[in-house]
Amino acid sequence: MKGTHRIIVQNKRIRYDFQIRRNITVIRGNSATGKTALVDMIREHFENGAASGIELSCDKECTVLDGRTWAGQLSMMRDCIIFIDEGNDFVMGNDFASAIQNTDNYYVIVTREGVPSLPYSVDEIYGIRDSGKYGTLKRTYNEFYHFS
Amino acid sequence: MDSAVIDSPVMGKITPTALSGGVKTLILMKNERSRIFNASTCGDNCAKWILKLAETDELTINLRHLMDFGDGTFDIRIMNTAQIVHSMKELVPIAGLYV
Repeated sequence: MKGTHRIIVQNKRIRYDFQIRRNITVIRGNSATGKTALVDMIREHFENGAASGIELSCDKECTVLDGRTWAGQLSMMRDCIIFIDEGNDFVMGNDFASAIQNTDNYYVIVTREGVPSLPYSVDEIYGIRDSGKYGTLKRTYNEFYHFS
Repeated sequence: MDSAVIDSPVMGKITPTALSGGVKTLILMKNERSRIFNASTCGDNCAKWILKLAETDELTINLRHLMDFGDGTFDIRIMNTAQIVHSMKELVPIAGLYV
Protein backbone atom coordinates (compact mmCIF):
# COMPACT_ATOMS: atom_id res chain seq x y z
CA MET A 1 0.00 0.00 0.00
CA LYS A 2 1.19 3.50 -0.74
CA GLY A 3 0.12 7.06 -0.15
CA THR A 4 -2.22 8.84 2.18
CA HIS A 5 -5.61 7.43 3.10
CA ARG A 6 -8.38 9.36 4.75
CA ILE A 7 -10.57 7.57 7.26
CA ILE A 8 -13.87 8.84 8.62
CA VAL A 9 -15.51 6.78 11.35
CA GLN A 10 -18.68 7.95 13.02
CA ASN A 11 -21.81 7.03 14.85
CA LYS A 12 -24.49 9.28 16.30
CA ARG A 13 -22.29 10.30 19.21
CA ILE A 14 -18.76 10.56 17.95
CA ARG A 15 -16.84 11.16 14.77
CA TYR A 16 -13.19 10.63 13.85
CA ASP A 17 -11.68 12.11 10.71
CA PHE A 18 -7.98 11.50 10.11
CA GLN A 19 -5.39 10.49 7.57
CA ILE A 20 -2.92 7.63 7.60
CA ARG A 21 0.24 8.36 5.66
CA ARG A 22 2.71 5.58 6.29
CA ASN A 23 2.76 1.88 6.90
CA ILE A 24 3.03 2.25 10.70
CA THR A 25 1.16 4.87 12.70
CA VAL A 26 1.24 5.03 16.48
CA ILE A 27 -1.56 6.46 18.60
CA ARG A 28 -0.91 7.29 22.22
CA GLY A 29 -1.80 9.95 24.74
CA ASN A 30 -4.08 10.69 27.65
CA SER A 31 -6.59 8.25 29.00
CA ALA A 32 -10.25 8.53 28.03
CA THR A 33 -9.54 10.33 24.75
CA GLY A 34 -11.24 7.73 22.59
CA LYS A 35 -8.39 5.52 21.42
CA THR A 36 -10.11 2.25 22.25
CA ALA A 37 -13.46 3.64 21.18
CA LEU A 38 -12.01 4.24 17.71
CA VAL A 39 -10.71 0.67 17.45
CA ASP A 40 -14.00 -0.74 18.77
CA MET A 41 -15.98 1.20 16.16
CA ILE A 42 -13.78 -0.10 13.38
CA ARG A 43 -14.16 -3.63 14.68
CA GLU A 44 -17.95 -3.33 14.88
CA HIS A 45 -18.19 -1.90 11.39
CA PHE A 46 -15.94 -4.63 9.99
CA GLU A 47 -18.07 -7.33 11.62
CA ASN A 48 -21.52 -5.93 10.98
CA GLY A 49 -21.26 -3.28 8.31
CA ALA A 50 -24.08 -0.74 8.17
CA ALA A 51 -26.08 -2.77 10.69
CA SER A 52 -23.57 -1.69 13.33
CA GLY A 53 -24.87 1.86 13.16
CA ILE A 54 -21.35 2.98 12.32
CA GLU A 55 -20.41 4.76 9.12
CA LEU A 56 -16.90 4.23 7.86
CA SER A 57 -15.45 5.94 4.84
CA CYS A 58 -12.08 4.88 3.47
CA ASP A 59 -10.75 3.71 0.12
CA LYS A 60 -9.16 0.72 1.86
CA GLU A 61 -10.71 -1.91 4.09
CA CYS A 62 -10.23 -1.14 7.79
CA THR A 63 -10.06 -3.96 10.26
CA VAL A 64 -8.76 -4.92 13.70
CA LEU A 65 -6.08 -7.37 14.73
CA ASP A 66 -6.03 -8.76 18.26
CA GLY A 67 -5.64 -11.75 20.53
CA ARG A 68 -3.66 -14.93 20.52
CA THR A 69 -4.64 -15.87 16.99
CA TRP A 70 -3.18 -12.68 15.51
CA ALA A 71 -0.84 -14.51 13.16
CA GLY A 72 -3.65 -16.49 11.57
CA GLN A 73 -5.83 -13.38 11.28
CA LEU A 74 -2.97 -11.43 9.70
CA SER A 75 -2.34 -14.10 7.09
CA MET A 76 -5.79 -13.37 5.64
CA MET A 77 -5.44 -9.58 5.53
CA ARG A 78 -4.41 -7.97 2.29
CA ASP A 79 -4.24 -4.31 1.33
CA CYS A 80 -5.96 -3.29 4.58
CA ILE A 81 -5.52 -0.65 7.23
CA ILE A 82 -5.18 -2.70 10.40
CA PHE A 83 -5.86 -1.27 13.84
CA ILE A 84 -4.31 -2.81 16.94
CA ASP A 85 -5.44 -1.64 20.37
CA GLU A 86 -3.17 -1.44 23.40
CA GLY A 87 -2.83 -4.52 25.49
CA ASN A 88 -1.84 -6.65 22.51
CA ASP A 89 1.69 -7.51 23.55
CA PHE A 90 2.43 -9.31 20.30
CA VAL A 91 3.27 -5.98 18.67
CA MET A 92 6.36 -5.82 20.89
CA GLY A 93 7.77 -9.06 19.58
CA ASN A 94 10.06 -9.91 16.72
CA ASP A 95 7.50 -12.37 15.35
CA PHE A 96 5.10 -9.54 14.60
CA ALA A 97 7.84 -7.38 13.10
CA SER A 98 8.81 -10.25 10.78
CA ALA A 99 5.23 -11.08 9.90
CA ILE A 100 4.36 -7.59 8.70
CA GLN A 101 7.55 -7.00 6.75
CA ASN A 102 6.39 -8.05 3.33
CA THR A 103 2.69 -7.32 3.72
CA ASP A 104 0.88 -4.60 1.82
CA ASN A 105 -1.10 -3.40 4.83
CA TYR A 106 -0.89 -0.25 6.88
CA TYR A 107 -0.84 -0.62 10.66
CA VAL A 108 -2.27 1.73 13.28
CA ILE A 109 -1.03 0.73 16.72
CA VAL A 110 -2.33 2.11 20.01
CA THR A 111 0.50 1.99 22.52
CA ARG A 112 2.41 4.18 24.93
CA GLU A 113 5.37 1.84 25.05
CA GLY A 114 8.28 2.04 22.70
CA VAL A 115 8.26 -0.56 19.96
CA PRO A 116 11.91 -0.93 19.02
CA SER A 117 11.30 -3.82 16.66
CA LEU A 118 9.10 -1.72 14.35
CA PRO A 119 10.42 0.97 11.99
CA TYR A 120 7.97 3.78 12.64
CA SER A 121 8.61 7.44 12.14
CA VAL A 122 8.37 10.00 14.93
CA ASP A 123 6.29 12.00 12.46
CA GLU A 124 3.58 9.38 12.62
CA ILE A 125 2.91 9.39 16.36
CA TYR A 126 -0.44 10.93 17.18
CA GLY A 127 -2.73 11.63 20.09
CA ILE A 128 -6.50 12.03 19.92
CA ARG A 129 -8.34 15.04 21.22
CA ASP A 130 -11.78 16.53 21.12
CA SER A 131 -11.72 19.17 18.42
CA GLY A 132 -14.57 20.96 20.14
CA LYS A 133 -16.95 20.99 17.19
CA TYR A 134 -20.46 19.68 17.61
CA GLY A 135 -22.92 18.69 14.91
CA THR A 136 -26.65 19.02 15.13
CA LEU A 137 -26.85 15.73 17.01
CA LYS A 138 -24.28 17.01 19.55
CA ARG A 139 -21.77 14.63 18.10
CA THR A 140 -18.25 14.92 19.48
CA TYR A 141 -15.63 15.43 16.81
CA ASN A 142 -12.26 13.92 17.54
CA GLU A 143 -9.09 14.81 15.72
CA PHE A 144 -5.58 13.45 15.59
CA TYR A 145 -2.67 15.70 16.58
CA HIS A 146 1.05 15.21 16.24
CA PHE A 147 2.85 14.16 19.38
CA SER A 148 5.77 16.45 20.10
CA MET B 1 -25.39 7.13 38.34
CA ASP B 2 -24.86 3.98 40.36
CA SER B 3 -22.28 1.20 40.62
CA ALA B 4 -23.35 -0.33 37.30
CA VAL B 5 -24.14 2.70 35.12
CA ILE B 6 -22.01 5.71 34.32
CA ASP B 7 -23.37 8.71 32.44
CA SER B 8 -20.56 9.60 30.04
CA PRO B 9 -20.81 13.03 28.38
CA VAL B 10 -19.47 11.51 25.15
CA MET B 11 -20.52 7.87 25.10
CA GLY B 12 -23.87 8.16 26.91
CA LYS B 13 -24.86 5.53 29.47
CA ILE B 14 -22.04 3.01 29.81
CA THR B 15 -21.12 0.18 32.13
CA PRO B 16 -17.91 0.24 34.20
CA THR B 17 -16.24 -2.15 31.77
CA ALA B 18 -16.52 0.52 29.06
CA LEU B 19 -14.46 2.99 31.04
CA SER B 20 -11.05 3.92 29.75
CA GLY B 21 -8.32 1.45 30.64
CA GLY B 22 -6.48 4.15 32.54
CA VAL B 23 -9.52 4.91 34.69
CA LYS B 24 -10.07 1.24 35.44
CA THR B 25 -6.43 0.85 36.41
CA LEU B 26 -6.69 3.80 38.80
CA ILE B 27 -9.74 2.24 40.43
CA LEU B 28 -7.87 -1.03 40.85
CA MET B 29 -4.82 0.75 42.26
CA LYS B 30 -7.03 2.36 44.88
CA ASN B 31 -8.92 -0.76 45.85
CA GLU B 32 -6.40 -3.57 45.35
CA ARG B 33 -3.38 -2.19 47.17
CA SER B 34 -1.66 -5.54 47.53
CA ARG B 35 -1.30 -5.90 43.75
CA ILE B 36 1.06 -4.21 41.30
CA PHE B 37 -0.66 -2.82 38.21
CA ASN B 38 0.69 -1.80 34.82
CA ALA B 39 0.44 1.98 34.84
CA SER B 40 1.30 2.11 31.15
CA THR B 41 -2.40 1.61 30.60
CA CYS B 42 -2.67 5.14 31.99
CA GLY B 43 -2.04 8.37 30.17
CA ASP B 44 -0.26 11.37 31.63
CA ASN B 45 -3.62 12.72 32.78
CA CYS B 46 -3.64 9.89 35.33
CA ALA B 47 -0.24 10.78 36.79
CA LYS B 48 -1.55 13.27 39.33
CA TRP B 49 -4.07 10.69 40.58
CA ILE B 50 -1.34 8.10 40.98
CA LEU B 51 0.64 10.56 43.07
CA LYS B 52 -2.48 11.36 45.08
CA LEU B 53 -3.13 7.67 45.78
CA ALA B 54 0.45 7.38 46.99
CA GLU B 55 -0.06 10.21 49.51
CA THR B 56 -2.10 7.99 51.81
CA ASP B 57 -0.24 4.74 51.35
CA GLU B 58 2.83 3.50 49.50
CA LEU B 59 1.96 2.47 45.96
CA THR B 60 4.01 0.24 43.67
CA ILE B 61 3.34 0.36 39.93
CA ASN B 62 4.87 -1.06 36.79
CA LEU B 63 5.70 1.47 34.10
CA ARG B 64 6.78 0.58 30.58
CA HIS B 65 6.84 4.13 29.32
CA LEU B 66 8.00 7.50 30.56
CA MET B 67 5.00 8.98 32.34
CA ASP B 68 4.96 12.73 32.91
CA PHE B 69 4.41 13.32 36.61
CA GLY B 70 4.35 17.06 36.11
CA ASP B 71 6.35 20.06 37.24
CA GLY B 72 5.93 19.51 40.96
CA THR B 73 8.00 17.54 43.41
CA PHE B 74 7.30 14.00 44.47
CA ASP B 75 8.96 10.97 46.03
CA ILE B 76 9.33 8.06 43.62
CA ARG B 77 11.61 5.10 44.24
CA ILE B 78 12.78 3.46 41.04
CA MET B 79 12.88 -0.23 41.92
CA ASN B 80 15.31 -1.03 39.09
CA THR B 81 18.05 1.02 40.75
CA ALA B 82 16.73 1.64 44.29
CA GLN B 83 17.14 5.37 43.67
CA ILE B 84 14.64 7.90 44.95
CA VAL B 85 13.81 10.82 42.68
CA HIS B 86 11.88 14.00 43.43
CA SER B 87 11.26 15.57 40.04
CA MET B 88 10.94 14.78 36.36
CA LYS B 89 14.41 16.22 35.89
CA GLU B 90 15.76 13.49 38.15
CA LEU B 91 13.42 10.77 36.89
CA VAL B 92 13.94 11.05 33.13
CA PRO B 93 17.66 10.16 32.88
CA ILE B 94 17.19 7.03 34.97
CA ALA B 95 13.85 5.85 33.61
CA GLY B 96 15.06 6.47 30.07
CA LEU B 97 17.52 3.61 30.50
CA TYR B 98 14.69 1.14 31.01
CA VAL B 99 11.70 2.25 28.93
